[in-house]
Amino acid sequence: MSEPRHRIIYDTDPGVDDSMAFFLVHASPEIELLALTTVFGNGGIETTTANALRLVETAGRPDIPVLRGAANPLLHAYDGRGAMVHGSDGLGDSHMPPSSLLPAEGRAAHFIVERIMAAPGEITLVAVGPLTNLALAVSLEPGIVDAVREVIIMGGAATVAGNASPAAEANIHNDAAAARIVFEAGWPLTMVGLDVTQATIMSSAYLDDLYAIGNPATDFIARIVPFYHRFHTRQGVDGIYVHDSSAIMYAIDPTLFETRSAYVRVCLGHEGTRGQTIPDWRAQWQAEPAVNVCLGVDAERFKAMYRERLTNGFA
Amino acid sequence: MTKVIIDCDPGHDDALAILLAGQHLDILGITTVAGNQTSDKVTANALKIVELMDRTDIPVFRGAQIPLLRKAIHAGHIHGDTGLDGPDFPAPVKEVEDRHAVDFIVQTLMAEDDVWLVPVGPLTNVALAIRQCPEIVSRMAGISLMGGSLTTGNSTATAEFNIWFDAEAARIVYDSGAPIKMCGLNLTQQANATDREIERIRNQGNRVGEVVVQLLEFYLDAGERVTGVRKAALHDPCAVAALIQPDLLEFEAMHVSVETRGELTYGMTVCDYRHLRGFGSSQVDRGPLRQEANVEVAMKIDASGFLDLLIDALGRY
Repeated sequence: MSEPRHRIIYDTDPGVDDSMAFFLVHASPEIELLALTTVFGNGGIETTTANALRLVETAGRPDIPVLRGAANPLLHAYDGRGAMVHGSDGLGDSHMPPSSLLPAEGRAAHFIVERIMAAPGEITLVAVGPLTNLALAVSLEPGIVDAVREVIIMGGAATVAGNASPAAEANIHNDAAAARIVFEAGWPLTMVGLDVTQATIMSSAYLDDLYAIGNPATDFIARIVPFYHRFHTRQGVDGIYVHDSSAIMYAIDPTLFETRSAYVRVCLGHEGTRGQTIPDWRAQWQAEPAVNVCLGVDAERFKAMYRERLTNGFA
Repeated sequence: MTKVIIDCDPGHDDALAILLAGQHLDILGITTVAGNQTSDKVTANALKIVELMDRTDIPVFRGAQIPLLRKAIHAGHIHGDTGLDGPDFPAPVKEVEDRHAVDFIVQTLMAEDDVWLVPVGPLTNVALAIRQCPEIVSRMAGISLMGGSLTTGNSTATAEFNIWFDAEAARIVYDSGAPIKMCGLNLTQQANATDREIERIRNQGNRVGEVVVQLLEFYLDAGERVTGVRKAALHDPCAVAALIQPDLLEFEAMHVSVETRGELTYGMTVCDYRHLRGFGSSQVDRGPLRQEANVEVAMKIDASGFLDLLIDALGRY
């Protein structure tokens, strides 16, 4: 492959599945990774930023800048609930030593604006955590709406129940106001939500095969996933849902997904609906803009690709 | 001299705030925010004002162009089509800086001690700065803002324009833990310009004063159309006066936050002054919903002292 399909800024809150998705990015020639921008979510901002630095160091890419992002949602304080799923260190309580790398100067939202405005039509944003940085960026400079190539987010639930609450997926629930801003901004937005991320399950057997590959990426994954796996087991899932890698896989090969376009309302409500994402399939609200919503996925081809990438990308 | 960043949406009273500050405070920069008019218009107006006061050394930075979550609804009915109707300003020669207002606010507060933020427009820029770099909250000297009200609103029954324009941003700022001095409508409506003040300014006979006279005549006409009374509250200079001559104002500490969900009260600054009405003191007899004071709310202003200060400053140009 000569030209990468996407030059991306990866906005992330690592996070176990964020880390698995990072290694997919690293192993995929379709993607040129420009930077990681961090956000609170699966852990506090100190935790997720420290983990982002661990990721670029583990991948042998200390040249990829890590920009620290938002510490709190727009309108309230971070509730710290990520630890339940991702461990107190955000990496499945693996307690790895800190990276020797430091974050780059500057802050995520400002960096996102600068990079996108400097390269109109070229950069894709892939956001797999709460959407606070993206909301700050588009509020700082509405011009990024036209200048960004594409925005792909992991978050929301169009046709299935939520996970952080009966109504809401965790990333949207974590900062519903930011999500409202991002969903209404009018840029080319694809929502990779629970509808597809819970339809792709890496089983215990699949994970065992992955751990056995034995390169730095899969060794890292083998250390962080068991905690996350046990959380899923307690929820009655045999294996793990593949959340954040689904957004990356959409960037790599959108033909893996079935999509449908609709306006999606992000609820800010306080009676249990905070963070609910309601698609208006029949255009009854006559509202814009339309969002590209992922509704189906070829999970078998997805998982085969993931394993192939993690096998060969670090050979 | 006290160092300030003036975050504004000029605006007639914004112009007066800048002119007042120019004589008594060290203005590190002027940042603009969409509010009274669009970002393009208020940014051009900020440039016109620094040219008028012959202070083109003050950098002007463009900030937020839209509220965080709501649609922008500007105040052309008060400030005219340009946002600064009245005088014929020449098209500004000075240019806006390349840097974003929020970046300037963050970098300045992180690099310099004892800087006050003086937001006299919607709080979008300040909210973005706080959410992008929360460390600024403990770095800054404080925030002296014009916005909200202890009592009645103007945009709605309960909401003052600056807060109502972007209530979510205001919520972020009020809840941030930053030390806040608030000059709300309850205060600024004690500080009115009338034809008498216009006459005093005219009699000082300077060029800047003559432009201010034209601004105030337009502003009073607009005020008269809206309220039926020929006077106009000098909102924004109050937040500046609070830093120049604090003894002109009386403050009460109380908890204040901003309503963002109310059906009738969107953008209301909810001020808990029960302790001033006999429902227990702020120290004792706390109800379960009583929260720590986070804002110094301006209650009274020595109006004649304030007008003397302002008119004197205008005469110095």
